[in-house]
Amino acid sequence: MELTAVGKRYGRGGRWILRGVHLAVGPGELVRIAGANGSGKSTLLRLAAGIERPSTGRVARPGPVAYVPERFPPALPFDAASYLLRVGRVHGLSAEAARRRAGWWLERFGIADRAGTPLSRLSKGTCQKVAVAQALIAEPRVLLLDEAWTGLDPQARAVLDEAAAERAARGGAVLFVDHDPTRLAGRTGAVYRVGADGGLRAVEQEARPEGGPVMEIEVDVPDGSPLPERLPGAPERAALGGTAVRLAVSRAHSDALLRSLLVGRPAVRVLAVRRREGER
Amino acid sequence: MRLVGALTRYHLELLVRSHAWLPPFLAFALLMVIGVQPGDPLLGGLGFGAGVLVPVSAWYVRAALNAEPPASRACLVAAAGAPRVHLGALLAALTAGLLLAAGEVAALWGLSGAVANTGAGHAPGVGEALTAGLATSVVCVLAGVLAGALGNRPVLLRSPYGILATLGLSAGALVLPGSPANAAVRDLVTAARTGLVAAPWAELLLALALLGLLGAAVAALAGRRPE
Repeated sequence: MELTAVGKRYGRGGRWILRGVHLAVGPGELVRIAGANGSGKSTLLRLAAGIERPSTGRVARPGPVAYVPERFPPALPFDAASYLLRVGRVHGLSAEAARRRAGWWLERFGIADRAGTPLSRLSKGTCQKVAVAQALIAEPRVLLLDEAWTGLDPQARAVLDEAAAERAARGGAVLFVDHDPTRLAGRTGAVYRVGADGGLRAVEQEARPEGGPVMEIEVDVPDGSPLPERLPGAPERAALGGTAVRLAVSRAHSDALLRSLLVGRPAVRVLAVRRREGER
Repeated sequence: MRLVGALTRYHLELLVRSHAWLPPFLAFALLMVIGVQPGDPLLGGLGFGAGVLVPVSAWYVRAALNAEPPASRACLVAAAGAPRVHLGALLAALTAGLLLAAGEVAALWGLSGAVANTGAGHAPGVGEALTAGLATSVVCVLAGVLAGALGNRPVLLRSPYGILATLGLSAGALVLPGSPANAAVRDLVTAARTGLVAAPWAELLLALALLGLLGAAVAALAGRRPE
């Protein structure tokens, strides 16, 4: 996906919310957009999604896009399962595939028991899970997340972290906005900031806190499939016997890594978590 | 095209589940009860019913476009593009209007008396009258959907003027000479007096062409003016 010299303002004399924005997000990239409130982050995502048109410049999309809005309306008169089925069909899925994937994501977010409840009777967080599932069932080439984590419980946030990383690992381009500066830290390919003048600049990512104790996590992957390429903290990997793997990561990232291993795919069994020997 | 089908289905389900289909339907039923008595001549009733279908179909367009909250529309637009989403809403309104037209013709067939007015020179067959009535109703639904498409977003962005414009365009489609709906309804009402029935095939073709052309243009405009 590529934005070329994109500018956006509302009305002829309006302030330029975005100006001269160049941004290319290739397959497999996970890109974060930072910026103050009202700086145009959401507008940038809406331009990328084709929901709004740029006042100047061009937006090129390689194919289907899925978008998760910041606030999802519970006023929609659907229940979760039939909404996901209908949107899945709009994404071009067969009815059978849409139903299967909807069931899978509702299960993964732990709301399969509320599949038949009208959205108007779901809590805000549950509704947001449906909004996220709506985008994930499409397995899109481009995934746009506009503060999609807001309102989710910690478990669901971890699932969405994994889902975003998985999408990138499978060749999707993922562009996200979130208030939590540590969101997907260590797994994000690039960070850009929208400035007050509407310009977009790359942000140097902070170097990983090197030094300090190293934690070793040993896991067994029973089905033998490889672990995702990008994991929190970019751990060192060492194959052990059989399907077991040892991951070594600085302690700052070990909790995030563990969480990601537990909720992510492939399913793993944790064999051991310990501080690397010979260190204090 | 498959995506447009899925979007039409989405908007139809939205119309049904949100009960947005109900107010236009009730208005239609009320006007029919006021305007047509059981036992009235069939052709006159069909002419009246077809005329009422114009504003009601235009209302269905407005209902289909407004039933969707902006945030969930944004998800659809990202997935399928604004022109397809808009086309889906228009086709959902068209489907609702056509279902109403079929129901109207069936109900009038069951409740009406003689085919033509008393004193008509000819006695037309029921089949002939129903064919002409159905074709006229379809012409009126097409004209109404066109009026609704031109009187709402993305052509008119300010909502309050949209209602006025939709009503004005519907009235125009009924009374302006040259409009296919006007010609078809006039033919049907004349046929009730004279007993000479002719189905409005030319008007039907013209209405189809107009809606196809302008509907596509409106959908394309929705892509250029997505919000």
